[in-house]
Amino acid sequence: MPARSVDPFEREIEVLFRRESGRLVARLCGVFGSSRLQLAEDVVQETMVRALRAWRFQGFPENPSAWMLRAARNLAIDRLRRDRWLRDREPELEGWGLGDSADGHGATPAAPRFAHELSDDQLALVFLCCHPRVPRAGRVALTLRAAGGFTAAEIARALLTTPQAVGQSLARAKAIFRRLRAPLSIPAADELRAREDLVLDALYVMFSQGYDAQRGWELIRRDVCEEAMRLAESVAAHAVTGDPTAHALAALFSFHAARFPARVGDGGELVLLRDQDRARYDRATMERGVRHLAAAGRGDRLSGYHLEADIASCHTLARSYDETDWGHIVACYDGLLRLNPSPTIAVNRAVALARVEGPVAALAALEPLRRKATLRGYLPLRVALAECYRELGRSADAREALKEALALEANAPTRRHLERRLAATPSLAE
Amino acid sequence: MPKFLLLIHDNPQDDMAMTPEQLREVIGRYRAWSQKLQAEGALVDAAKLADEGGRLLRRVNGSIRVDDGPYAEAKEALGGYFLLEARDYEHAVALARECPTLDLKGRVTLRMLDEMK
Repeated sequence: MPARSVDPFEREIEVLFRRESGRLVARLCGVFGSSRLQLAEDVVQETMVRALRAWRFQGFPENPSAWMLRAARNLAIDRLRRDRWLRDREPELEGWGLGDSADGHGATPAAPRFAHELSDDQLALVFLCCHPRVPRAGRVALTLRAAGGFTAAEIARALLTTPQAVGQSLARAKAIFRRLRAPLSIPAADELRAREDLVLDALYVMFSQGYDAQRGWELIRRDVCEEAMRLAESVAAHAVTGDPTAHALAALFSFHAARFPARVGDGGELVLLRDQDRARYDRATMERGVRHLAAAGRGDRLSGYHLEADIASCHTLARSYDETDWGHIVACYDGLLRLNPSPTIAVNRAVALARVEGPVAALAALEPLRRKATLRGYLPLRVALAECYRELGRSADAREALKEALALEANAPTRRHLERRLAATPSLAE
Repeated sequence: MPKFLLLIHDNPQDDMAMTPEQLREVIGRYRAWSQKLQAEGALVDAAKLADEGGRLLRRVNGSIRVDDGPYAEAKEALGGYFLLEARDYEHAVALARECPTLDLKGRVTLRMLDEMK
């Protein structure tokens, strides 16, 4: 079955809208204040509608980022003039999008900031969204929405929930912000540290969502992963928040991202770890991972990100699939399970265990997980079961597990991969 | 070849209700349509009209009265136009039929330019 090719324009506009809405919400929050997050989001929505209404006649502008920035600025000024409370903030909008920088964002001189404040608007917005008084679902959803430019449907997929539930979490989070009258400025240095874990958590979800795009034609949304990686590196590079845990997360992202070129085949198909051409791994990104991992080792706190980065480094730095240090990977998963007894971690541990002790031991770990309600929609469990059955020559059981996997939601390349494997597994009737 | 003015009538408020995903998709559809017009050599010109609604001039009791409008209060406004070149009305209608405005809540009117010298 030929892969449907992704229209480059459709891709371009998706990336543009996601990136610009994240940036614009961040910049507008800097002007309106975080208690007016909804206002900033409304202005950005209207900006996108303006883009639609103008571009349908005049085509795509030469510099769409600058176009959207100017449109947002004009709309923001309209709003300010209607609102007395906001009127005195107008000077902050002057000059937006009037420069000639390539992306339209670089032209405005940044307001002076203290060394221990955040210099990056988007990172500041992430720290704002990750307010400790907002529950986790709301924090993560708000970060993905405001800083990542995700739609409610995309957030729902990332958090394994429904768009309605995401809408409710967002509404509750915004209500909390309004009640708190959260300060206009970004959090001060002493508050940054307190919020750092929440920020890293939100970035982790953002990267995972990009890494495992669940629906659509593509395996990886590189723009989303790159944005999460950029933000994690900013946290790691910062004077106050740049602790070993932030470096561990940046290392984890780097080792995963280094494998992107080899994880997707020339036809857009999924290439499994064991079949990946390791010469295609991105050396520069691997080296970044190694540097972050070294910095991550300087602390005295072992976080889950440390263990996951350790696992990812084993996979990425190994010369071949067979030369991977599977024993060490199993030990890291044991450590992760001690920190967080999650059934999805147990599945991944079993996959590594199959390489160390063989499929019988792995099946003994996997089969009890099959009955867990929380794993009903977890595709890697079905795939891991199928692989163990195949290795043991239990074709009928392998087919059953693959069919269960195909009944779940997955992106097109993953589906094609599963269909190929099902076709390659002989059924007993034949 | 005769020229036709294709006028887009719609309500900006309808667009405000769209999700970012829908907006992205609609922009893509407009682009595909106008590329098709260009490929056929049918697209002469296109422009968006400003959103403020324009002015309406009338002679009332001997003097000229200028009002906002004609669309200031209307739900539906003239959003812009495409100037097309087509063999005849049948051809122009065939081109206009695929205008994405029609998949949304908008309307399209088609007028032939009278170019008799």
